[in-house]
Amino acid sequence: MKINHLEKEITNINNRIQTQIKNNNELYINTTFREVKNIVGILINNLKLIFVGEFCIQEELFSINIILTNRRQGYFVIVRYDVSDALVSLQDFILQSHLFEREISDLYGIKIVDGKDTRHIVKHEGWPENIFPLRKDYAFGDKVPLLSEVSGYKFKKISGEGGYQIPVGPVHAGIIEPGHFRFSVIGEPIENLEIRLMYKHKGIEKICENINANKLNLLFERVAGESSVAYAECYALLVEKLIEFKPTDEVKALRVVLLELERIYNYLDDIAGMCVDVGYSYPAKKFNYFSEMIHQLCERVTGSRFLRNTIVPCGINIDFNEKNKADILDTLKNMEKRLNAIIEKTLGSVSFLDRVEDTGVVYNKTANRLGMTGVVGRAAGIEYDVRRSFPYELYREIKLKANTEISGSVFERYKLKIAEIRDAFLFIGKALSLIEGNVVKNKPEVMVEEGLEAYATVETVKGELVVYGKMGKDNKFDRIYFKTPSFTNWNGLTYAVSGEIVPDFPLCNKSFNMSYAENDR
Amino acid sequence: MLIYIVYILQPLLILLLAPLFMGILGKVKACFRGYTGPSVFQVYYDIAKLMKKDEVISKSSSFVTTIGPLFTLVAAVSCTFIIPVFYTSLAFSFGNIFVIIFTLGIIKFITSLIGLDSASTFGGMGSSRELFISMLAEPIMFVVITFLFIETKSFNIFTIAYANSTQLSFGPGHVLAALAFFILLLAENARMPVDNPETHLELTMVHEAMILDLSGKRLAYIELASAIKFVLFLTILINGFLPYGIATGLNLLTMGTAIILFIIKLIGCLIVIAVIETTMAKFRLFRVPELLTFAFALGIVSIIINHYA
Repeated sequence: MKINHLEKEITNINNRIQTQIKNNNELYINTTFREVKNIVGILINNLKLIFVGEFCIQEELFSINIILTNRRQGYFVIVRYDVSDALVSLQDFILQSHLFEREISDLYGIKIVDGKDTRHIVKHEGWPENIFPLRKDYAFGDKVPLLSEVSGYKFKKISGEGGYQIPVGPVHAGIIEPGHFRFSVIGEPIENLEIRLMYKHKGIEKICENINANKLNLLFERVAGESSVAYAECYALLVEKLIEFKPTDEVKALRVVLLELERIYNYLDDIAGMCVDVGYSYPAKKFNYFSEMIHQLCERVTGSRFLRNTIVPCGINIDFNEKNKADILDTLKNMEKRLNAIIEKTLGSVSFLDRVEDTGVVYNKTANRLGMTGVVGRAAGIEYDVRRSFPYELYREIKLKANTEISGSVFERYKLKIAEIRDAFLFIGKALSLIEGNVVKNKPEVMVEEGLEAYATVETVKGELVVYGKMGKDNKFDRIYFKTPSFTNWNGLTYAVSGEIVPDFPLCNKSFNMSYAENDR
Repeated sequence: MLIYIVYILQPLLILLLAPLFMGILGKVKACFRGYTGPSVFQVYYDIAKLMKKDEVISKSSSFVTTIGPLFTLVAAVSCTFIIPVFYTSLAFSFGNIFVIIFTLGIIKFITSLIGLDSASTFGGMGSSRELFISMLAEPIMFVVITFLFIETKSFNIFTIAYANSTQLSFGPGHVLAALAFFILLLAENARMPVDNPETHLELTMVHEAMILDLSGKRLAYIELASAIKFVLFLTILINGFLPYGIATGLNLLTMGTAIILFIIKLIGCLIVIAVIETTMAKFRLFRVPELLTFAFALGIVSIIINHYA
């Protein structure tokens, strides 16, 4: 259904509702505390929209925004209602909405009405009671004081003979970020896993409100280091949407090259990690080696191993010439054959296949209910790739079909990551062929009008990233909201490991490889 | 006189070289994966470092953790005295193979107790898995011993080595029994595909999980004991199944060649293990019984073949 048809449909159902279309693909529906549940229910159940996220904007009152999307036509529907101190829980029919509600509740101090799960999520035990960092009256730069006396967080428990709990983390053996995993097991099989994250909340959404729009791309890149380019791209898309700017084809092509380079090294690290976790060390070391080659290529081309500070709104922050182009083509060509040989080796190894096949299955139904996106969602048969549904840059022409698998096990995720790497090789080749001559560094100053708002979305290596931005005074944003892919995808892991044995958990975890930092934004 | 030197030299050779062999294994694996890897002497450095380090002992642990590691080392060291390395004769009255396996059993028993003693979940999981695996591994040991007894009419490892020392052509039963023992060796020493000795993931560990709570010199004792145990198993494999070249007379030249041959055979075994560890993924925990049952079946078949051949 097209966006204007949907608008008519909504007003037919209830003519008291005010609707408005902005930026061609955003339909805003204003409603009230009483009717919101009903309307969201109709949009999801009858009009087949997909729930993406929920967040809060502080105006005179608190405005709660529920983001829904139509993946086929590629538009957003935003249901808004104002509240003063309590929001309506959608937990009855949207499984993951509790995450968003609990987050709003912790950061804004808004109560959740009839929610089943109202535990703290951002607020860890050390936080004092009445601190709501995202409220406007909470001064920027203040640190949350930490209490020494804490009250406990209630984990789900299993009881009965032989049942016990294994606490793992938040401090882990590897050099990774903090996260607590609470396994309830009977013998080796996992009965239940509960994940607790957000040990290092960075308050990035608050910082975003206090930085000039021209520098904000740097902060975006630091929300999640592994997806720097995708975040910078998302910021560029957001600003370009707000000021209705169209970059040149060369810039678009170069952005695709950078985005795909990022995808290659991330997925190479992922598949290397999966091999490490089953003790299959030969291919693991080789994949790591290839990933290092790409990092070094990135450094030669852009000066940054993680491609930082390259994509800026309305332009590109690097000089790109024929030499760089030849360097990228050479490196990739040199690598492709060797990479394929190693991949074939892993796909032909009985001991490896025995470990990954049918391990950590997420069924399509579960994945749909959880709203999983990205590789982990596509492995379970969800045919959704932001590059297809909301095409940006050149993807409308080059990304013809989302790669999907059916059964959703570790092996499917492994295969999809390989497919994404192969696609990336292809896309880089196509994009480079569109760049003729030099691309000159161009970083224009942007000035955005106060009060404009927009949504932008990008496919990061973890899945669908949606960013909302609303402009405030002095060329600073009034509100930036990140719906990061890991925030919802993490819970897929709890379903993937249930019934598996404890020693298989690290493998399942690695096949997801979700980001801790994306939750701690 | 010379015989007394041999008495001392045989165990000393294993004790001093065990870390080196572990280092060589690491180096070979690094080579296969295409990087330089740490020096072959790294295990010595690690042990020296651990001996100097301060240690932390869990408050909830008992005397088992305090004295256990030393016991494992003592068991490993005493076992080296009753095993032929490069010299064997019929004059040795000790060397009963049951004494050897029960001495090695002490190491496993105490390590499992240490795992349980610190009352951490990982230790408990490690102990439970270790015992689960060794419960299935033990029958293989007895089947292999039975085979060797039928072949050489002796339970004494020195006599077994002596009896086999001049042979080079063995029947198929012998080869199958050696293979069964080799799989047992991998399982008992926490090698791939049963356990991944290099992992940092607590949840997948078997042997490493039990000693997670140890540090300082107690960890060094256990590490050294496991290295010695590993080399002991390899020595039993070599001298039980392919002792060709082992010295049977008190002659400096034959003993010299015997030492060199022993080291070459041992490095050969290490290379085979390195190949397995780099080209295979670890088995799923509940797939391990299948491997061990296979080894047990090999042992039984070897006895039957030996009977009819």
